[in-house]
Amino acid sequence: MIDALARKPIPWLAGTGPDSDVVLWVRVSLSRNLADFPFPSRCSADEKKRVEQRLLNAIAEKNGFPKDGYYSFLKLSKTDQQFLCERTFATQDLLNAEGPRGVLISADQTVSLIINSVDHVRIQALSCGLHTQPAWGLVNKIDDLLRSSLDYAFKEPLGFLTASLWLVGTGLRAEAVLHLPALTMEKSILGLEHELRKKRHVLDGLSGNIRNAPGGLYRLSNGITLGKTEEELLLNFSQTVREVVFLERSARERLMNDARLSLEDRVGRALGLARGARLLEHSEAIELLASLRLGVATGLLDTHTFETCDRLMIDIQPTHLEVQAGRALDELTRNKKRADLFRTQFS
Amino acid sequence: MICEKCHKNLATMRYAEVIDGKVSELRMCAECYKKLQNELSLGFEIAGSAPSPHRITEKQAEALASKTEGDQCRVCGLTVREVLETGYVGCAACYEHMREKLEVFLNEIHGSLRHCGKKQRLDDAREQLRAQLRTKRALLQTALDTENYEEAAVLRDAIRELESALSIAHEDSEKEGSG
Repeated sequence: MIDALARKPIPWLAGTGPDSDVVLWVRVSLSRNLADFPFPSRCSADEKKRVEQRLLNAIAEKNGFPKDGYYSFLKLSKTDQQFLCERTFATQDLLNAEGPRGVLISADQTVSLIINSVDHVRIQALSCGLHTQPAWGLVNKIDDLLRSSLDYAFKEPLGFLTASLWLVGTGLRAEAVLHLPALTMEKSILGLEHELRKKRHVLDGLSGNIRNAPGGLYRLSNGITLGKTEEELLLNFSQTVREVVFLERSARERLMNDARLSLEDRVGRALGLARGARLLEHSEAIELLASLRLGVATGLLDTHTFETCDRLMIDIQPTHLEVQAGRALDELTRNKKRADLFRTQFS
Repeated sequence: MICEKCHKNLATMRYAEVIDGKVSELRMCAECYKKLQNELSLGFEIAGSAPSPHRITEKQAEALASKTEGDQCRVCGLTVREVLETGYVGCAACYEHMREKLEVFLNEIHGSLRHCGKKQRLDDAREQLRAQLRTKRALLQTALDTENYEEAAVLRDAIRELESALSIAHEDSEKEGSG
């Protein structure tokens, strides 16, 4: 089942969405809980089983969700669980949780329902570039579908009740994965983070450390969920992302004007390594991809596309390499396979 | 030299990290280095962790918890201190039983204590349409103020659609009422 999933194309990595020179992808999610059960951290295994069943039945009854399948974590190996996590369908929280839990994935790999992680269900949709509205449309539709047959934990004036104090209200989280190499080089990230925080948005490194973000990759998300409608939150979010996109583009322009040779050198070296390296560690590979992506964005590398870089970003992760190989791999073999992937794509 | 991480084994690796242009270096044993590498590869978590972007500062948690010792959810048994340490409640009743204390934090995080979005049930569809209409009208005003005419045109169409949907819903409910 996982093997088949691994071979499918990933539409939100097409590199064609709006502002995709800076925005890799956007994820919109709604977190919900059922009214008759404690939240997952306080649920017994039996209660979790019933929550899981209710949610899956509600989806099955409605026929509004063309699904690839339900991946029950009780039946999956650690590798397969980690694979789903790497592919963004599951979260680390789901991996660390216990008991009946899993993830329902749509046939086109755009929507997934994470069941019994931090909340009973997190409905999430991904889309390419800054395409927030289509992702919201999908999530909203499935939420309506569930809402018509299930009782959600909801209480005025707070709204939808979630396990996290940061999600209560709308339960809405919009996240954009951003590539900000020029702002990173200019050392503007911490200042930007401070400004965004004032606007109640959160900027963090993709690795969870803003001070050391591999490849200049960051995550920007809305910081509040109360006091505004979903539409307002999403509009604010999109506007904020657009402002950051503008700042990054300006920084890239400055870089092209003032330090073009260094930039050409950086992209050229990355291409050389991508074509010639026989062993690549994950962290080094991320840095290479980031340089190559910057090359594509600035026109210094016109033979490749964002899609190549972004798809590789997913495929070079440790468990993806193992699933592709069909067996567990030691570190040396993983590094070799990673380098092979680069050579295939960039030679 | 002894490993600077575990302070037990002999340090055989050097690990350098560049933060804001400053290089910091750690000497560590092979075991700790491997652990760190694993952490780093797991740390690059594209999937994203639980959506709790801010953490309550220790100081805040301490101040509040010390004042409120004993406050507890009567359904799941979680205490205010536990909630503030983790940022998570255990059940829906927590919000009721620890309301006063949690409201302080919710207000600090969100700047509001009022949910303005979707309603619990689909029966509230009409109310929801009205809320959407209110939102869209406000957004239209903002778009016009900022001379974002492209956005304004899209919003104007959406408003027209909502208005017609509301009038149809109105006719339906009148029919049901008379029938």
